[in-house]
Amino acid sequence: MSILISVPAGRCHRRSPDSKWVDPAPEKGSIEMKFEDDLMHLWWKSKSTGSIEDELIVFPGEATFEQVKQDPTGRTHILKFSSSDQNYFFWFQRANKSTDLRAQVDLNAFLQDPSYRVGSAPLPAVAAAIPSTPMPSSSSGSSGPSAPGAPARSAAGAASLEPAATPSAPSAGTGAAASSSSLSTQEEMARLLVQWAQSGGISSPSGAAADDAARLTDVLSPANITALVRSDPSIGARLKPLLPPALGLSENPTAEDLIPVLTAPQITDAVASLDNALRSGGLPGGMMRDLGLPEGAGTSVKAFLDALAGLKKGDAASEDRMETDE
Amino acid sequence: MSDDPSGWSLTESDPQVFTQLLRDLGVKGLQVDDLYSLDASTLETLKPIHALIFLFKHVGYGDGSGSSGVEVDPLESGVWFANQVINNSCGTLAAMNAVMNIPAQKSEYEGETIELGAELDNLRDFGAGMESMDLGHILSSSDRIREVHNSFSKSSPFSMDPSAFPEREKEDAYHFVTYLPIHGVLYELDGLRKTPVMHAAVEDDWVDTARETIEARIAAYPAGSLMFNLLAIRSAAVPRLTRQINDDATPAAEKYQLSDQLEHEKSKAARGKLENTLRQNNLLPVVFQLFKEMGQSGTMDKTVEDARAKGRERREKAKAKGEEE
Repeated sequence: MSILISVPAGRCHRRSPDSKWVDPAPEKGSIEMKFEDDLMHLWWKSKSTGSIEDELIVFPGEATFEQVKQDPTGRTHILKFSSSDQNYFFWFQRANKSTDLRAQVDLNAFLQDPSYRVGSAPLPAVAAAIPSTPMPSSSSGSSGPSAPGAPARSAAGAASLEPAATPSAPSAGTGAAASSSSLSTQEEMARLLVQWAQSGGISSPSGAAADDAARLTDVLSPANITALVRSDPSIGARLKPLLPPALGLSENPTAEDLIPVLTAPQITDAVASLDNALRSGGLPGGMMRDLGLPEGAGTSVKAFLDALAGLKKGDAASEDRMETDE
Repeated sequence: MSDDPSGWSLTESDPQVFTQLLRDLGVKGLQVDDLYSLDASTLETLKPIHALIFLFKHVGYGDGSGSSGVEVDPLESGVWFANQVINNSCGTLAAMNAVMNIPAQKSEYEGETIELGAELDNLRDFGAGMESMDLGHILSSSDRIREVHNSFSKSSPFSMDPSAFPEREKEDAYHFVTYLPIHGVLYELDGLRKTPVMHAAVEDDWVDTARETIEARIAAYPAGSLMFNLLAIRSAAVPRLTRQINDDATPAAEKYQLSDQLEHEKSKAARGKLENTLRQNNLLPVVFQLFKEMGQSGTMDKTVEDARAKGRERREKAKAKGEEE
């Protein structure tokens, strides 16, 4: 069976199992694919030893191969599986960067469809997603990777990179500000958040293990929600506009109206997914600002909880307050 | 967007989700329920049952043998059978393989007619004579089916990210198999197998034969290594029970029993409606508001301390077991 594609590339390794930081390994090699016995095989082959490592079998559509936007050199890429949490990072090694996009598009296309013809997919228009930085030069005698254009030893997501109100994203090109009132911009925001989080978001050098031991689902547990709702008769009027209209709640729902809704497993799921998002990539500062929280509140669970604890009475109704302050 | 698996969310295998999914696709007269037991008295209260969905996950070592039965050509046997082409749609596919083979039943009584509805009727016509793989592709590339399938995962924008629910069992790890009678024969429809599998001739009490087949299948796995669930696709209960209760011909004693069942069905439906509404809407705004309310209520410090203590205990335990958090 013939090789479908071969792209000069090296592997990148995580600094530690929890870490968001990946470092390029210097060894030269290539990513190759072949379709055999109705299965798509992908592997990384070492150029020095000629041996195949990291061979994977990928079902059509099960994985994607994309550029990691947070790397300024543009050479870091991620092989990501929809069916598991496994990610593999690679960095393109060809001296000439101009073929990088074609290589990424072709690798990704083969993963979706084994019958793809190499080179046939159109190349997408690529928006400048991040501020450009000078390419790290490979100085002779350095201990870094010897191939030209290697990403500097850095994170797959740079901690110093604070995206503008909208997370950096490919061609989406939406001026969609973090404050979205219409459903479509909310959905767009959601999609961008997921992409941003998936490609590393804000990295914390110590990783998720160093984040708060408290889980948001234990903070906003059904019992605590029940107590909160019972303690404040005016809370119903503030929550009602945020709840789905199809629930048929009155404008001023009572605690007993609200409790079955707010203790439903879907609420717990939403809290759990927020916890996971904060722990694994953080949330954009602009979104936090719009919620009336400090920008840093989205960087970790701990930062989020600290920011909430810093709220004073009346902050939760800040929108109303701002109107009357005018 | 065609067969893009990243476009299909992971859904829970909750019977209320399946019930609403079918209704949103236009199917009439059916509902889906958990089957907690296959004993005769339980089944009596649930009949008529039109199909069973057996979902299972095998953990640990050892392997159950593949099921017995005869492979048949679906086109020759008059069976509508689609192959699974995308992982994340496994439950929805099993439901489609079921309803496409449940015969329509016209009823003079309101709410009791069983039919596919225009949407799926069109899909079935469109796919007439097609191979199972192609039928699978038609389903997976149907924007409408995907839209409805995904609508149940809207409670958090992060739900499209597979790592969003690390603790919840991933649905795609489960294998879904449909059992139902078609033209007097019990069939097993497994989207991951090439063809439908014929088990035995059946008459009115097909569920009994299905039970034996499923139990035999479960027994083939090493004890305790199989996690599974059974769903029943049955006639919509509320209209039928209401009619029977209001029917003078129904004996009084039976009416009491039927009233109990009706109450149970109504509260199940109400709960299902609540949870599905929550599933279909973004809950992050209200979650953020709840956090802010808690923050300004002044109870945050104590609550967080308690949560931290809990979390530390969890980490200690995990460390002791040699796992990472």
